[in-house]
Amino acid sequence: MSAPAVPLAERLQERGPTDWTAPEMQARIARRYRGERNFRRLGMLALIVAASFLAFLLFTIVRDGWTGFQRSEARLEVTFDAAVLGVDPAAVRGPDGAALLARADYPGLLLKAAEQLGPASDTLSDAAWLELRDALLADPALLGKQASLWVPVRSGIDLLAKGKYDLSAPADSRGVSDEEVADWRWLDGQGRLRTGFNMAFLTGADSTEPELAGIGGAALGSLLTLLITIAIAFPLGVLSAVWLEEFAPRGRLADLIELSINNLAAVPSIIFGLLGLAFFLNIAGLPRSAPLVGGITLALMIMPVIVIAARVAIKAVPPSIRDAALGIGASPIQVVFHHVLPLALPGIMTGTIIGIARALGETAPLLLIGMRAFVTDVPEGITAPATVLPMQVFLWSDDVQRGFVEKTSAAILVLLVILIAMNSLAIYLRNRFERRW
Amino acid sequence: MNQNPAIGHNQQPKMTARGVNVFYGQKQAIKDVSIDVSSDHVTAFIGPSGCGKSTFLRCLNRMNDTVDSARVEGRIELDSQDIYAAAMDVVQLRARVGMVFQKPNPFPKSIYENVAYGPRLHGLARNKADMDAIVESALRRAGLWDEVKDRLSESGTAMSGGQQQRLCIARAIAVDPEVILMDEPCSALDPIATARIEELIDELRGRYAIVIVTHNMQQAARVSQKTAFFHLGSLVEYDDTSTIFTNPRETRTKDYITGRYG
Ligand SMILES: Nc1ncnc2c1ncn2[C@@H]1O[C@H](COP(=O)(O)OP(=O)(O)OP(=O)(O)O)[C@@H](O)[C@H]1O
Ligand SMILES: [Mg+2]
Repeated sequence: MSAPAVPLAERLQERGPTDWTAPEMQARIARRYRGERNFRRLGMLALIVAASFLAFLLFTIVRDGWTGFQRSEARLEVTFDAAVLGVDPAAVRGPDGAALLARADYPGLLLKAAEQLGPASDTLSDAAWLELRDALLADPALLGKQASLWVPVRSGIDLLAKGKYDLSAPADSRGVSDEEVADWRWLDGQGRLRTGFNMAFLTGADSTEPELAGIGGAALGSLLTLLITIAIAFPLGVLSAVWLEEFAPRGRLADLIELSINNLAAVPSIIFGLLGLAFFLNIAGLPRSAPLVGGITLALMIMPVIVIAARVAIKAVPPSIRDAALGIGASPIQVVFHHVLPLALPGIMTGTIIGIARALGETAPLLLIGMRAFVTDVPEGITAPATVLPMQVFLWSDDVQRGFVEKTSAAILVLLVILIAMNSLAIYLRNRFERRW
Repeated sequence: MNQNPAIGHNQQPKMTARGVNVFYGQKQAIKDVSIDVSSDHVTAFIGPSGCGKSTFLRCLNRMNDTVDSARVEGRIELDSQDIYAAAMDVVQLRARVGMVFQKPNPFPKSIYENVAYGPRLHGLARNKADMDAIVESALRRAGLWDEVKDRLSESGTAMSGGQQQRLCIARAIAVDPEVILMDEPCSALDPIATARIEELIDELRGRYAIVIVTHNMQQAARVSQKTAFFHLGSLVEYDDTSTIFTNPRETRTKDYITGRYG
């Protein structure tokens, strides 16, 4: 199509009815269809790429992680000999019997019992004596009798039992010694080995030994931390949003506050950690490594998110509802609490849970306030030393011992399950409370 | 504009306004309006769009307080009490001077809760039976009872537009106000629903002082006994409806009524 010399007005004059069947027109339409098809294909492709990354991630974590929920145990015939334990059977039946039993020499008893394993006597976990103690404390009548107990084995044997080593590889590159392989073969041949669900992993806390390490302590630490976070961030965030939306005088100050809040939401989380370190630990003197300080720090971090979500939700409540309530004599506070907040609640909760989920996965600010600690006890309260799930993942992934690889993936699975549960709750709450007007 | 606003009855007017000016920021929306509203009849506000009818109506129950830029000057009294005085409780004022809005705005709650909300706020019912009685009588007076008595627990927002507007009227009268302000209550409704509301206004007349803003000349003529014509923020003429529609004093009024402008 060359540009015609005729002036525009004249051309428009001469223009006849549009010819939809002309070849150029057909070509244009075909081009449009092609464009739309390609765009849709491109969108699909993007989705497939994203989904396959996600699927790959999930697949590797599940593949590596599911054995983390299991541990291998060896069967041991234990004779609870009072002499070996170093206790007096008569005194045990007395009033302080339980205390006496708790202090008995179980490592010695274990050493003796392990003799029956012959060449594999050194395969038992360092903390296997705890099983003996727990068995006797649970049933003091066992004293002087024999019992068959399952006790955890060392991580190397555990991994062999789970088939984690490539035994066809040359000895110096397969990461496990010939001696351990022989021990494992012997135990297995005797029928003394089993691999089962590892309850201690879900209930216990961290340990230097992979076979003894548990995620329970970190999970509880996360829970306590998040409770503090919610208790502080939700009321503060919602009240700030209500005040900003409903009562704050419009003007320069309100604009400034809005700007600050939006900026705060984008501040890197490590900076909140620095604030927590400088203020809560150094000035306020709160305990290090504690869920209390972690919770407050994370609350500061997610409060802007809640404020922003709550403001959007409050803004979305139609003004006609406010007019209606004011018009029959509701006070501004009553309007907020009877109408605006209930209607805004689904949006507020969605925002809050997204904030909480972010807090659950956060490590950087907690590093600075000492929640990187190696904590071997399940935390007893909000001021006790604790660690949190993502921090536990980080600590384990950093550990050189082979046994922590599957623990790391298992911990990630626990974290993911909690995240999915929380997001499902968010969706449920939103659908449950969503109302139409 | 200084005409004599008080016309007719020996009775005290329910509400009086004297020299009212309203500004939105720098812009003046109402200029020196003085008017009396009596309990005996329905008063209609008419005038071209943007002349300030809604603005003035919203002064009568201080709904303009919610607009940051709005400023009200002059004196407005309810039963000889200055409603803009510091001692005036706005919440109580709005319970005494109810309002029905242009767009039906029921709460997204049950029909029962919509009507019961006001009485509950002001503690008008001592027990459940009291409340049931209040809700029933308000719905009856709003001509809605027979349609909804079997589905009081259904959502108020799930009704037709006309039913919603009558629900809003029921909600307003449930707190037993002395004055009801209606801002174009029928503009979102079809002729049949409009006729129902007009009937309703007629039934409520005498019990409450009613002020209605309308763009519909026939409606003003049908439901009101007094009519006020506003133009560019000023009250041009205020008289018996029959006089306004048959023999207006001002040519501006006549032009507007006969549809020559506005
Ligand atoms: N919130 C507000 N802020 C600023 N100006 C306003 C506001 N509300 C109304 N106005 C102005 O005040 C004037 C009167 O408005 P008002 O709503 O009272 O008119 P009206 O007579 O009710 O019109 P309509 O018949 O279209 O409803 C208009 O010029 C309008 O632009
Ligand atoms: Mg209006």
